[in-house]
Amino acid sequence: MSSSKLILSIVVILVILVGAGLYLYYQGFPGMGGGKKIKVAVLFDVGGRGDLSFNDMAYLGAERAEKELNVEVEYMTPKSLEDMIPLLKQLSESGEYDLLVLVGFLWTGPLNATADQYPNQKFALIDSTTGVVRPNEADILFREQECAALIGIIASGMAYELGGSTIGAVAGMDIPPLWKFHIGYLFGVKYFELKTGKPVNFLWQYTGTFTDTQVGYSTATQLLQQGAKVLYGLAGLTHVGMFNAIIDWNKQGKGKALAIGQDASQEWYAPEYIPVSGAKRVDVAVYHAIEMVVKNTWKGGIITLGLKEEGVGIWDEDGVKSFAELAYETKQLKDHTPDDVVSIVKQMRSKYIKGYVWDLVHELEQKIKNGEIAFKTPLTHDEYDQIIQQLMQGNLDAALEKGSIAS
Amino acid sequence: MPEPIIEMENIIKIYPDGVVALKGVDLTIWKGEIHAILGENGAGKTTLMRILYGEIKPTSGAIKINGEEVDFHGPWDAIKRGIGMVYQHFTLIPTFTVLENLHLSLLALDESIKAEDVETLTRRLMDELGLKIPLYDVVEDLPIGVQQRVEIIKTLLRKANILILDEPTSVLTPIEVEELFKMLRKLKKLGITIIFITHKLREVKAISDRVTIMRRGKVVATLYTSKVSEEELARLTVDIDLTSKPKIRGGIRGRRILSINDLWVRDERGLDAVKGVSLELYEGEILGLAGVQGNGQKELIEAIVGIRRAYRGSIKYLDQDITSLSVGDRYKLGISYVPDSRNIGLVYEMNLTENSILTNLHNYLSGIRVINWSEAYRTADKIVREYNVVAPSLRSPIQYLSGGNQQKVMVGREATREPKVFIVSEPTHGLDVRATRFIRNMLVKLRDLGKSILLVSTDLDEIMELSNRIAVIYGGRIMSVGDKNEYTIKKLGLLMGGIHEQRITK
Amino acid sequence: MSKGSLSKLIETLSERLLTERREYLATLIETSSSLILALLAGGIVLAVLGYDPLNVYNILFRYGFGNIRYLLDKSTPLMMTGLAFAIPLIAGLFNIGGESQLYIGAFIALLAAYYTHSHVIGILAGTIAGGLLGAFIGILRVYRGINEVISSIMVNWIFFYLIIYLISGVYYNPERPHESIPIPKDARIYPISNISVIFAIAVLASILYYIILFHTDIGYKMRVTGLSTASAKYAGFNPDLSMIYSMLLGGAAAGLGGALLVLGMTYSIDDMLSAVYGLGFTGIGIGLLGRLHPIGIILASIFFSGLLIGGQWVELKTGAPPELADTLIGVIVIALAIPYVYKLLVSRLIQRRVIE
Repeated sequence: MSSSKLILSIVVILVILVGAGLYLYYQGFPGMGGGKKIKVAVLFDVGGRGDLSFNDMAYLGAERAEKELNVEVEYMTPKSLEDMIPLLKQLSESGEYDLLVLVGFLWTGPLNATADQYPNQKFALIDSTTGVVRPNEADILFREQECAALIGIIASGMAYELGGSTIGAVAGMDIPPLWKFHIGYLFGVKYFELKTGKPVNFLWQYTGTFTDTQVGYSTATQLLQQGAKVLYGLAGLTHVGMFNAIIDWNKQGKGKALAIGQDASQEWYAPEYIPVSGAKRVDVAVYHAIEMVVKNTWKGGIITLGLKEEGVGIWDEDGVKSFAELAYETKQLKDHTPDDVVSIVKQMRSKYIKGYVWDLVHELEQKIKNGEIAFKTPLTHDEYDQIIQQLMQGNLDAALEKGSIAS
Repeated sequence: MPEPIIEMENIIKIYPDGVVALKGVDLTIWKGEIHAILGENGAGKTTLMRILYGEIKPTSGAIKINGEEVDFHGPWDAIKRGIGMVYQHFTLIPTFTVLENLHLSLLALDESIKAEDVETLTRRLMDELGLKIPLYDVVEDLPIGVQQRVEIIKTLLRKANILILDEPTSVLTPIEVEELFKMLRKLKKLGITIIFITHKLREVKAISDRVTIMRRGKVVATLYTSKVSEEELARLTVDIDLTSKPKIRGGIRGRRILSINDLWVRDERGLDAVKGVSLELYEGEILGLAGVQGNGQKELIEAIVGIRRAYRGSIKYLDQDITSLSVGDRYKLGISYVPDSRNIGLVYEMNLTENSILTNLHNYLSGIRVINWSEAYRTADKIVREYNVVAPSLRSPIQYLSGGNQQKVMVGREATREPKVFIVSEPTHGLDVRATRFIRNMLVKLRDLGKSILLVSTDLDEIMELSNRIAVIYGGRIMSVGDKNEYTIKKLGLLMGGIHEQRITK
Repeated sequence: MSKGSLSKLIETLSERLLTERREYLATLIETSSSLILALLAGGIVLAVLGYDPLNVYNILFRYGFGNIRYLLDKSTPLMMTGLAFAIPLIAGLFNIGGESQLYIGAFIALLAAYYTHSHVIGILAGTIAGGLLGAFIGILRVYRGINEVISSIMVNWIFFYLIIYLISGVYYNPERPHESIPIPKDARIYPISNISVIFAIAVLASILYYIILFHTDIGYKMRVTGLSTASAKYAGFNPDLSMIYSMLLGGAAAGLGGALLVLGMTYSIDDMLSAVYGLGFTGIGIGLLGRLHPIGIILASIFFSGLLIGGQWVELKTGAPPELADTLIGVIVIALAIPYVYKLLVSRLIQRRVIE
């Protein structure tokens, strides 16, 4: 094909497109404009919906807000990181949306680069922070220590029911959010030791990845070989490998061990072996952000959600069921119906989590909820190391910003 | 009165781009005859046959088979009517065995047919024809002539009683042509009607009962072959007198320009293809290298040009040893080469101008290796003018030119480089009478200008007509070298078959 | 000049014009009809899935081509990976490695810019890195006979994980651990009065490639090699060298694309590589849509980017899942590219069969 012919053909394409575009432009949009309903756009992570985790939870939260708060919500999945800045700009410039909710850490840089240019546009960044306080930007973080502490108690109790006293965690990368989990989880273990007098052997392993199931599998197997009875998955996709390792460990008759999930309810993945998951309620965060706009309580800066705000916690039966249903709809859950999942989880919980454990959980939960105690968030790796060291020696207060356990 | 089997009446074909290929053609084929269709490239022979075979639809006109009007929507309709076609380029699957190919083609007619049935049918047919084809050999390992026989058998198995052959001899060696003709005569005896497309006058005379001559989309005449001479046929095919042949001067030769000494070259499979060839080429002569295809000609000339390495022996150009020079360096010295295949000597998707600098690129480069296209256009224009190339424009992709015009561009490009040594392989392969004449005259003209020409050809007429000296190659060895008048076609044929001179003289 | 030859000249000239105009007209009809067909096919898909085609197209094109700077920025890396696929294919190689060539280009540019604070050095380093990786695959093909498709795919994954490791384990940003170290402010490429500088650089690079391809001996030899290796050998060219050059140039294009992406758009790479993932594969479509012609690829990358951008808005404005837009884009692009791709693949595969 000669170049002139080629250019001609492309020109034809562009002319037709521009023509069509102009025609449509003057035709205007059907169903545009109208009411004064509050309008929110939820911008997902690059992967978009279907992850049964962050993006799907954000969707659930926004849907709830749409019903309960009478707002209009629209959704968008950016193609790539490079799309984020221009999309933020264009959405802000349109002035159409009262709030843009950004799901996931990938939005951090792009938001930081654009927020200042649009002081009248409100942004809510979920589970990440730009580190800059702006009146139009709310960074919603979670107090992961609080749920990890409750999980620490439960894991210790389960280990004793399984005839052992070692628990562990398969963690992702050595980064601040994981430090918080580490502190909380270890705190819960020591709380259990303190209150019951039963010693617990604690294993914590960073894998350096959030995406490698293979590494998750081998790391988990090593921990199981060291006698761990319960493993806490804190590594995204990597800990799916941990789940598989535990399933195989049980099925191959090497021993009895259980897993604990995190963020979304992950019991559905293998309800016989995952009786409980820690919750990081992205849905609550999204709902909270929208609520601030609707109820005119908007406040820029960092907002943290903990047990008290139901931003973190332990997934209850309703939560387990709704994620099982999501997984069922997307054909990822095949062996059971959602109702089966719930009943198996109920059985497993009553079998392995005894009353005295629940009592301890509720006791600590109360202390946290009524503000009696509050956890530290380490800012440097040194500080983090120090807190862990102190905790290992049994000094629970080292993890606390406020209050004391000794009392 | 013979019985007509095919009647085509007033066939007109206008292609979508406005080209009128057939301007009202009438053609009657009689049952059981061998009917030659003669014409230059572009006369409309192939178009007419493709219409008969149902491949393309005529713009208007009627076709009757056995007196019954037919309307073909594709070759299948024609096949059902007992028409079979053998193309210049075969439609066999090269990696399948002969039997698998035949089986495959019959499956299209009868899904349940078994390989054993096909084998029985084929063997019976081969007995009838007195043929032997190895049914379990893979097609690509067979000689072209045998592959062609497989194609013919394929159509016969489909019960064809009308066989169309499109330029069947263009891919064959002289011996294979003879065998083909023998087979066609046998088929005729069995009552098969044969339509034979060609542009070679000699073949018309040799095989056909009647001949229809076409020129520019029209039928010029339909004649009994026995009642016309070759000269008359030539005159009817092209309207100018092309019967005069150039005079060959003999004996004037200048310096020795190329000397090849004990050259050994291997082929792709690593076998010796050239076994100790020594040859000399002088200024002002045409040295014809005769031989049956596949006897080392290709490897020999590729070694001379440098495309292939010689692992022993030497090649000297004047006083310089060029055995280890690259192709490009040899071209720069003044060696030029026209390969036997146009799809090597030309790049089909590139345009005429781009093709006219293929072997001479270094002459069109500026300091920073930028191509000087206006210079290239000038060269292309020169080739087009001097060699009467018919092309829509200098930017036309070369694949849109006819075979003859492509050949002219290729030969013209090499000649325009003003080489001292001009190696040409099958320069008139597949060309019509007019283009063949043109190229041969050109070679003689170059020779008269003092160029040295090494002419490799399987066409013995061509060798005899043009050469000053002749060398015969057989099995990678030179059987004989000598002055043209020491040879006759008969003697060449024997030498090419590997029979030594001593035995011939005895 | 005699009267006879003058009239002959006029005759040939007018004949040439006539034939060429006929070609233009044919191209015009062919292109516009295939676009209309493509849009119709997409429209049918939409209607079948229960969406209003007019509304969806309205959003797709209005938003897709409405934000010029975004459009041009987005087409920049795609243009480069389009070239990364097209240039080697012109010489007869299927470079599926635009993906890793872009990764390495982006990553090396990031490091170079981080340590030198210079965008020029970043661009050069990224381009060279991509080119070397491309040439490596070409060398494997030529000297070791390793099929370039297979080696490219393997190299893609090797570099995917290698760079993930380097970003998450070594060159991470302590403030934002999911991201790499950032491009320093003084090494970023900003638009000059709203003109996308990275796009301009990409266009210049494409024009340079055009010149190399059609006006230099390197390009001429590459084209001959791709169309017929036998002809290249006959002409005295070294087909092996042409193939390696083509991979070098293709890889360099992808590397430049990656460099421009980090220096001008994302300023960092995340540890899941979502900043760079997939651009190389999209480049294959763009190369084919642009008919393997550098100028065509410029326009194809703009066209394709417009569809990608518009697709995101289709989700926002209609509530359709993002897969709808992807499907629609696929249908349009395939309908536009199919006739050409078919021709191309058939001819290239036959050519390869003959040689190998």
